[in-house]
Amino acid sequence: MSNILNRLIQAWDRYWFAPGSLTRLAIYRLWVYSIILLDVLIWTRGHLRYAEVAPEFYQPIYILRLLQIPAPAHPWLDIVYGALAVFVFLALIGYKTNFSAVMASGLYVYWVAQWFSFGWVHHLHPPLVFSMAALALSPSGARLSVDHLLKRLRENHAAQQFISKANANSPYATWPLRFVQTIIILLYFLSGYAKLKISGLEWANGTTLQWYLMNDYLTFQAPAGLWLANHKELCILLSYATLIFEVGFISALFFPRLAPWLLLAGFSFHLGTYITMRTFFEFLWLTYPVFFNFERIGAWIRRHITAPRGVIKFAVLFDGQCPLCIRSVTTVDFFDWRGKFVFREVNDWERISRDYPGLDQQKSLEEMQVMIPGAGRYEALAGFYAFRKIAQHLPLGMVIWPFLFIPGVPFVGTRVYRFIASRRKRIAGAARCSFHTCEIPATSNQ
Amino acid sequence: MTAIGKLESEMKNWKLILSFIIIIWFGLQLWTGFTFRDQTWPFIGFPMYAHKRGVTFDNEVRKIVLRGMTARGEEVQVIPEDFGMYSTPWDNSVMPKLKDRTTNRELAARLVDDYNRRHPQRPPLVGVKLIKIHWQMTETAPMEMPPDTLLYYLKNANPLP
Repeated sequence: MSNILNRLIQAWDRYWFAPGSLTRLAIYRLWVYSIILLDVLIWTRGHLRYAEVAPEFYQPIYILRLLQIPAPAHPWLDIVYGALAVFVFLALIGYKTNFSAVMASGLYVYWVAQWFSFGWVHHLHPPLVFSMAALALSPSGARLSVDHLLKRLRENHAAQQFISKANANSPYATWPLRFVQTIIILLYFLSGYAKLKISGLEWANGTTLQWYLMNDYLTFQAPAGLWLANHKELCILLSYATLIFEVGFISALFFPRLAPWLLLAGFSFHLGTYITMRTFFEFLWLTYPVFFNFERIGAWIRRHITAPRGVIKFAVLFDGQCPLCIRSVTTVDFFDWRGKFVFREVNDWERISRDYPGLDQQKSLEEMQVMIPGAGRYEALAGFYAFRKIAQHLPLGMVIWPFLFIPGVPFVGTRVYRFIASRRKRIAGAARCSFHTCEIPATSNQ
Repeated sequence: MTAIGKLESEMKNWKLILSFIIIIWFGLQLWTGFTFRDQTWPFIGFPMYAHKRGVTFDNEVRKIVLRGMTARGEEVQVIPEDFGMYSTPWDNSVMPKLKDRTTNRELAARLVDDYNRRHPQRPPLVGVKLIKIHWQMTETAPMEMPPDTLLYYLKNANPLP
């Protein structure tokens, strides 16, 4: 008996707590909170007007009754709205991620619940709400977040050297994704179950679908809906297909390889309901990416489309005994999502001079260098021009990159760079000291 | 206890807590899903579009619409947003009260006043009309029926018999 129990516990542990990629989890955090931010700022911003609806129409759902929350009113709802937008943004960029995500989840639940407390409850928010909650309870801010950048800066600061980033796995990175996947699978299954339980196979009599098509047609006037409602045989066929699809979705739980096909069928289904009934269920299919492994997809795209001959890497040469330089390359490394850069300390001059013959050591210590590989040669860019090259190849850097070509910017940029570089602090030789207490000015060669 | 041992112990505890959360979460989801509850949102069932319809039962498709009436006798389209509401909550909160013959005239009077107060730049309303648009399901296709008037409210006028 205890043997069976042990095996069950081990299987449970393997299923939910198998080590998973923190980056994949972080990508899902970015996805979910981007959608929520759009929802709050654009799609549901108008719900602030519920504060003006007469309280007599307020029929609080259970969670609001339990918390004894009264009908929405100004300025309370405006304050909640403002706080929600701020916490969603913080959770998106990953600043104090877990706290921000907990606050964002709670406020979003209230935001949607007060909307549903006027006589109607929409069925398709749960995957998104549950995604927010699961991300709040997981290390979703351990990568691709301000938290991670600050942590790396602190660690490299303490180590007094640049340590390159590495993806890491965590036993807590898998369960949030599996959890949301299971919720989506259950949602489809329970929809199919409801149809069979309430109506049996008679649900697929054709008239039922015709009725629902007409019902939505009277509100949304979709011509394709009226057309379909006049083709009973097609309605019967589509009704059976819907039942098989919804109930059959549970198979994704046992055969994960079926998931992509079921998701494709799901999106086609929602596209069909949009064309005929103007019902898109976007809050459901927008959570489909929880099934996608973006890291693998990215690697596949690089291998087959954008860089079939391998990624051309640029070497960034920096002064490894300069705290500011370590901080700068740590930041560049953080934003280098495409893996375009390798970072090398100039202080290892023997190897650097062997790899880049003719390079000036003094100049390399004075200004950061970016080495651009060519056919058996290399081109070196220094200071501001190195910075501009880096900006060109960082996904977020591309936003400022064109502005660095505006006439006058290189002139000013070069001088500003030299001014800062000439006043930076350095750690002398093997001295171990705090970045803030080393007062040794820039020297010539080490 | 060593540092690694302590970390392992903390991990076990956190796994245990998460396991309980997962079990309770799915328990609630399955319970509400199998019993078709919606007031328990965000844990809910999914009975939308699940009720069967037939040619001989539940065969009427209907939509109740509200029209405003101006002093010049014009009929204008009014939407829930004109009253600071949205379509679905409007359909579920306001419409049932408007359809109720015991209370609808009082509510209609308030809607007219509310509309005029919110939209002083538009031609003022003097009344509202509630119309039922309906289609009947037949063996092959839906058939449109003549509309019915459920409420005809004009300020200082008698209701429809």
